[in-house]
Amino acid sequence: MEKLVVSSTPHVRSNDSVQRIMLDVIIALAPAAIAGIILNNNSINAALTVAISIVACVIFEAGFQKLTKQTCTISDLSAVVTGLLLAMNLPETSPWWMPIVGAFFSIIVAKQLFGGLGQNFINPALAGRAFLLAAYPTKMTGSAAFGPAKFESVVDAATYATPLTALKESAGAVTSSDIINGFLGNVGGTIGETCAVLLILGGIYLIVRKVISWRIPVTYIATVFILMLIFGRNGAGDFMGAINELFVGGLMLGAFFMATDYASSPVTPIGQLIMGVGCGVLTVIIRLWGGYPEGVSYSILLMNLCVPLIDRFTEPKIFGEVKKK
Amino acid sequence: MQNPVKILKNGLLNENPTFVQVIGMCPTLAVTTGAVNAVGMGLSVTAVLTCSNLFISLIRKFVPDEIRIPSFIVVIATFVTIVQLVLKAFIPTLDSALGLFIPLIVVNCLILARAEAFASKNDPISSVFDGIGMGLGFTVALTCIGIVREFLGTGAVFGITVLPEAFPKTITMILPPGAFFTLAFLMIAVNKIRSSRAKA
Amino acid sequence: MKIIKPGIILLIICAVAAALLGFVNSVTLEPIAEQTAKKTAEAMEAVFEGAEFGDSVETEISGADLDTGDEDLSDATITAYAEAEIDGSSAGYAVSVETNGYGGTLSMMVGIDNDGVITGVSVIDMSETAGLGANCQTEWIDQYQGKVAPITVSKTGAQGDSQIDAITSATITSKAVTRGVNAVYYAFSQGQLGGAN
Repeated sequence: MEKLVVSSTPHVRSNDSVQRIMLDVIIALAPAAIAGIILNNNSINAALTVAISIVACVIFEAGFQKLTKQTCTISDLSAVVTGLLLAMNLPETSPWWMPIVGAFFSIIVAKQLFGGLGQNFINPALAGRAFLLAAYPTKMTGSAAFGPAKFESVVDAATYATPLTALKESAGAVTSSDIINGFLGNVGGTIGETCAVLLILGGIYLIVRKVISWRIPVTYIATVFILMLIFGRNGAGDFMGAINELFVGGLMLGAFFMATDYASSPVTPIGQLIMGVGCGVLTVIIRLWGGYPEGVSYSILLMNLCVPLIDRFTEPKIFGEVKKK
Repeated sequence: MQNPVKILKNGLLNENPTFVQVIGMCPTLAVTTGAVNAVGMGLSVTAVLTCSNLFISLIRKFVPDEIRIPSFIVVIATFVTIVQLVLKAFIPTLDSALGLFIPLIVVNCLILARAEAFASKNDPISSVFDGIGMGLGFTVALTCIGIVREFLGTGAVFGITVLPEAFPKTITMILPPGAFFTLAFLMIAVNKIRSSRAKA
Repeated sequence: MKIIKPGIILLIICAVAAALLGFVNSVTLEPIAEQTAKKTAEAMEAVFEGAEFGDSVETEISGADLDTGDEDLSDATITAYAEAEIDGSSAGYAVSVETNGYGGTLSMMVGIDNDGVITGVSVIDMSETAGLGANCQTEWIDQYQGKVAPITVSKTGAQGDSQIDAITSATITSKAVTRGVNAVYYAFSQGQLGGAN
């Protein structure tokens, strides 16, 4: 903790730079990413996927800026964060070219074509994931694409369905061991989304460091919990089922690290609450009644598109401003 | 009469309906999932456009201003229906692939735009060349988009598989978003070429 | 006069257009009818090899009106059927049926022989996702041949005479096709197709 300095105004509180913020995000993400790699059935390929994704993102960013004669900004680490997040959203069975295609879409199409860092209207890593999901659905999902973490094999071989896919097929009663497995990451899923406990710790680190505000993640997760409690797969009031929904799938990764992306989330406090609730509602709708088992990425992308509107309607009144008639 | 070569070049390059004027977007985005469909659509539009331009130019002096638009639409709709009947009778596979987009040629703004902007003010022969030029410009643009999307999405060009089976097929490219991405990237390329030519 | 003159001109244009269209229509009428008949005949031939077909009978049998056990076939509608004959004696039926797929209506032709065995399925019209559900028009559809309805969809490897493998990542489409096939089976076994059984 830094020392509390008391001084007269103006208070220049932060010596944040983009690089510093991005470094914090990487520090927060690293434990979950490393756990996702080590606890994986296919550690080598998972590690390769992460490495290729990060390198590809940096190269695309540098290459594009070189090509368009802009100042090269790869040292701000934002491309590294995008690459890491993208890889964490991929299954560990990804073929080597898939993170490259995803990186191209994330960096070139979603970020640079719209003006680079801070100008992207959607989260680049999620845009990359959404593109890959639409482009190579059999490689991105499906029972063959996921393996459980290996420290305790609770899932039968042959069909490593993700917990959400399994729930979509047939909702059964959730036991406390299901929840513990989900919490610790002993479930199927993409590389970075399984280990809920480390993602939560990383998120808390970012909130403590004031890199992100608590508003989006907390309202997001709370909305999912409450709606799942009301409309749950096994009827209303299924407390265990609702808890389980929080730890399976990409909710923790999405809520803490992707819905909070600066450029594509609202700046006003009320706007951030609206963003969190909106993401939560969409996620529950997609999980319960949609065609896909998981809805975190699409709900964040959809809410990203609403951000300019949210910001506009929640713009704080300037002191002394008279309401327009 | 204007110089036919100049008119043709105008439609193909300088005022290319798709990349420069950005009109007629509906079929451009919808039917370019494959190069064959794109060529079929482009040639259908070219046929309609050439015929409608010719007839509208022929009747331009008899048609009073008040009934200009209904007359143009009748002429255009007639030729679209003819194209549709001919396709149904002789190229049924293309008809089922293009489906609803054949009758929708009637409301393709490219055709009415050329009728208004060119055929109703110029002599028949120039109008025919304008129709051919614009139609071919449209066809070339659609074919480019179709080739890119088909190649990336299915690994084939004009229905002939050119990539090995193991090569990943980017399904997004033959879905609707692929049309937007491809159009955007091709427009970047065309604008780049045009601006560098303008400088030179 | 101001109204009459443009009206007459428009009338002339329309009359010429109508005459032209009438002429083109008369020329293309026969080829179009031939194409349609050919398409149906080819689809029938594909699902019932080596058979000759009687006249196609238009009908409307909803899956909801059939006794289908536990299976919900309410989205399946049988629209037409034709009796298939091999060597002059009745061998089964070629049936047109529609169900709801992932992207809209899926219409297909199903062949069923007198023992209730599926002789073939062919998807005639569909708007499923390219690269996924659209794969129902590939050789995937051939696995219905020789199966005994009612058929179920398996995602882990089909076993026995009444299971088929789902299309990878397109279970909804696979199930929609299967519902159509099962509806045909139930309609057949309950004597809804002409004078069957």
